[in-house]
Amino acid sequence: MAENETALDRALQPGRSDPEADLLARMAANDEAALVALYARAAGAIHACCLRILDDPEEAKDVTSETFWRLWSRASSYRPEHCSAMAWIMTVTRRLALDRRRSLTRRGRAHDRLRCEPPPREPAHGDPIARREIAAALNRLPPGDRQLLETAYFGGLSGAQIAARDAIPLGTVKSRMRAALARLRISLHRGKP
Amino acid sequence: MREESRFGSRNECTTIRDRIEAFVLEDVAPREAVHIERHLARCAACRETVHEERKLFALLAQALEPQQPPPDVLLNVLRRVDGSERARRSWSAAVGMAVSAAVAAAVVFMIQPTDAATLARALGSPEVAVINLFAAVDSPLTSHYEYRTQSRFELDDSVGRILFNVTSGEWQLVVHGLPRPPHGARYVLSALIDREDKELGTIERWTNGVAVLKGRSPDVDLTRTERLSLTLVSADSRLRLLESVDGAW
Repeated sequence: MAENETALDRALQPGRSDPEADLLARMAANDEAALVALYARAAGAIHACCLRILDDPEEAKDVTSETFWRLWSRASSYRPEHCSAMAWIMTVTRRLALDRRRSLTRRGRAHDRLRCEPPPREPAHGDPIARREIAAALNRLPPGDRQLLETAYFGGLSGAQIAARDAIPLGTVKSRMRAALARLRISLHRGKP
Repeated sequence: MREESRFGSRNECTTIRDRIEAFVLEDVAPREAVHIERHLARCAACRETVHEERKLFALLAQALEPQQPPPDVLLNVLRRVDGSERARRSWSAAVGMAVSAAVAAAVVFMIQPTDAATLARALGSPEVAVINLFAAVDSPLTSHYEYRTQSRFELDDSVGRILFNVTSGEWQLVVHGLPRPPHGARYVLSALIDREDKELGTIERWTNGVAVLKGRSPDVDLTRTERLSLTLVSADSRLRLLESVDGAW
């Protein structure tokens, strides 16, 4: 069995071997070492998501910290039968980062700062094989699909906002989004060995 | 009501499916979210669709090139966890922690490492003896017969100094503002010598935000150290937290 097949399967199918889910279960039982281990595995992805959404190193740092606190204090609310642990973790991260961005926008501070420089590179954590395969699957999508998904996910724009911005009907946005997700699903499975 | 009719039983799944992307992206009003969640609780097919879409969207974030956050992010989380754990254990423990934190903060803010007497009064703990030894580095009574040197750590409000006795190989590190290590994890001090990290020892005591590590490494020539680092080590991870910012050996 190829190692990368397992890595991608884990990202796609909850219920399979999921180290992050095991760590969340231990965190729910107040195992602090599990928090450190989860940090080692997921901090890079969480911080990258915060940087992408907030475009501000200081705010991203703060939200990354807040995310880990949230994961620690609400680990017991994770349900492994619903989705993979990383999907849940990234949902929590995105929500906090978008909330922060909206708060900053309300205060008129968004985009006041220069675009962040990447921080010094540290040894990569997490699962680089799965990440590369997911990135490859995204790269196989038509550019419009990827842009639409990223606008909705990282940009936090609602369907109505995207429709208004692009001057197209809301129904068109919905159908394009659905089609993009379907193509991403196919692209992910096509990338498997 | 209009909301009820939108989620009527006849076309419920069709209506829900039309809103699933918005629901997953948290782009629905709280009331609508409650309606959808109620439907999902009794409809396995729609639930599966939601899980699938949530997973697909999350992959967008997982595809990003990882960016390691600054190490003080972990320290801040550990401080917060430590505080909450103590508060959870008992109210009196929480009061004690607040007092201890206030004392520790005062120590960090007000006292220079060489001011041993003041430090002793403020801390009133067994660490005083250790810190007194450390503080003696600049004392005219001791510095004339032992060659000692210091290196400094700095990371937000975590500040530390290391003292090394070249003659005996004894060393001692005091770090202020370091959170208690999580259960099952420990702090490890390492020295980078000839491009190789040599482990010197692990934390001995941690009290009131002051971590004390000391040991003897006669086989390691610490004068050739390029960099000192403090790492949080658990059974399944190693995270570098602090690095010396000056190596004036």
